[in-house]
Amino acid sequence: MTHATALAVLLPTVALLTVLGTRAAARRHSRPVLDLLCALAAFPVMGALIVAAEVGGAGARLLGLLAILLGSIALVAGFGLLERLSRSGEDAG
Amino acid sequence: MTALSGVAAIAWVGSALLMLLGLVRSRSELALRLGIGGMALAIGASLYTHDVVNLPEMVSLAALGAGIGYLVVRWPTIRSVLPILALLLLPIGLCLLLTALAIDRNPIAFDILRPDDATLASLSWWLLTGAELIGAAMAIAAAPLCRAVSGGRRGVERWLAALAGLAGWGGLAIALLLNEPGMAVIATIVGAGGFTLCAMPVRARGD
Repeated sequence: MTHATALAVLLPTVALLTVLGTRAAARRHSRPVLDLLCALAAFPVMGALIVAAEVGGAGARLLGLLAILLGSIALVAGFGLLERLSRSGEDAG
Repeated sequence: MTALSGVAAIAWVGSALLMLLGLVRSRSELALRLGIGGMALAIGASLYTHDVVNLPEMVSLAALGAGIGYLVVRWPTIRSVLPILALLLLPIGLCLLLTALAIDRNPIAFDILRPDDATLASLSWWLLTGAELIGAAMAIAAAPLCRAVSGGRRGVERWLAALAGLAGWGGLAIALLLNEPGMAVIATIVGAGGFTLCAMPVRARGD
């Protein structure tokens, strides 16, 4: 973990900024923040891409590729649903 | 990955800023564009910083997943988005779990286990186990949560925010294991955002 010192400073700062920004945005309207957060929650597909890109063993590679499949389903469906929602203006939750 | 290249660092910082701005300005129409842009930049940076050995398989499965995701989006009977977003936490949890299992099966490839070591270091073991447990918990909880959201139970949005936040903390464990600072920053944004929403007071429906 070569970036440990930088991360020890950076991550709490990012967390604090996120907490303040999210609180300010959600105080007015929490649903759009929640919708976008659910779509952004598909970011672990990045980890799957990194793992599948580098692993050599057959079993591990299969697991990494399956993770990419599932992650990309969630990524495209999540953002696509929000796009559909913003176009139609429907959905009361 | 031993050092972050300039291009990758700019891409990671840009993607984190876009996602953060998207969350802060989530009421505006620009927010979705910011989120998509941030995610695209982050995925590009992930691939740019690594030697990809399985590119055809990865592209094929990503395209297949994107196609299935597109079919979900085009499903004509969808009346409400939130239950589907809750259900999508199932593949996200499984993605986390499978990624952690892939690392577990080949720890030497990611430098978390030296060839002359017998077992993982304590911190790496905890991070790996944490990611696996979070992935499994998300996969188990997604379907009941979808039903609860469909039923319109009061306060269920907080659980949804908590589960989305858990994806952030599970992703943070993976990022720390893989020594990926950019992914760790994005994971922190999702994790902190989820738990902030979870901790906020319940608002009236129709908000």
